[in-house]
Amino acid sequence: MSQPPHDVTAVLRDWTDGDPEALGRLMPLVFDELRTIARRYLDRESPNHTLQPTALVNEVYLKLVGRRRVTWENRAQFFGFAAELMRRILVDHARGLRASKRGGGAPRISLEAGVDVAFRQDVDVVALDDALKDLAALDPRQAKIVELRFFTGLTNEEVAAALGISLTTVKREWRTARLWLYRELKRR
Amino acid sequence: MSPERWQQIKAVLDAALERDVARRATFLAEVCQGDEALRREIDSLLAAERRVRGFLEPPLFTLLAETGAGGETSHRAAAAGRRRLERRRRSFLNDRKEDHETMIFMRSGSII
Repeated sequence: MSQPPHDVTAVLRDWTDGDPEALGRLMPLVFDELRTIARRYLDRESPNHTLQPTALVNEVYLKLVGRRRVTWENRAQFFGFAAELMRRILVDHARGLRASKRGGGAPRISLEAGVDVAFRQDVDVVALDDALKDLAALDPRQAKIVELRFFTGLTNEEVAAALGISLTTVKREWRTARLWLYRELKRR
Repeated sequence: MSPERWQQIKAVLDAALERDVARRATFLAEVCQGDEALRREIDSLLAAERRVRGFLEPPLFTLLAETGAGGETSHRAAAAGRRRLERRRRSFLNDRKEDHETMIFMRSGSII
């Protein structure tokens, strides 16, 4: 089995240790992988190409890190990274759409991997991103929980494992964070 | 709002959410006594409770066939990809008729 071009686990470790450049090193790898996965799905001619974010991230993870080294700790790091990446992709994408509607001619940062996004409710991703930044200032852990649930589609159980906290805590924090964010978005 | 204040609000909000709707007013009157601002905060957050159903459901990703091998785009492949996307979009909307009005569908456009 061929090795990935970079040691993904090492980059993930750097990222968890707070190396801000790690995200930049990992991003192109993930983009490439998204593109490959998109192509493979389409080659299958399956009528349903809709993916939950969790499924997409899982596939990218398995491709980049491989099954042999799958430990939960590894996966949790990756999901944390993926949540941040997905957030950035979606927000940039939404901002690009907004700019092109205004005719501003700003460079459009499309998902570039042949990936489209469909929201199940009317969510203003840019406003959500801003509100999440405010929430992170009040309560970083709550913001992280929302990020993991919304941007990578993790379940409460998975969020609990990823953050090393109890399921009860996740549910409680999610419940109040959601009320707070809902109110914030209505105000903006 | 300070982080400390939010922790306080959160604790009261949690306790209120644990109680039946009918018993909340008495509880809040007691806990928020002398802190009208706290009461207003809690009331305005509780007001959102009935409306958050489905709020922050994760988005779905759909995959497009607009990129050829090596990144070159063939017009035929792009057109086929768009038709496929349109079919998917329709079936997605049919599945979720109730969300039709509020649906946002974002296209990444053609990719070079």
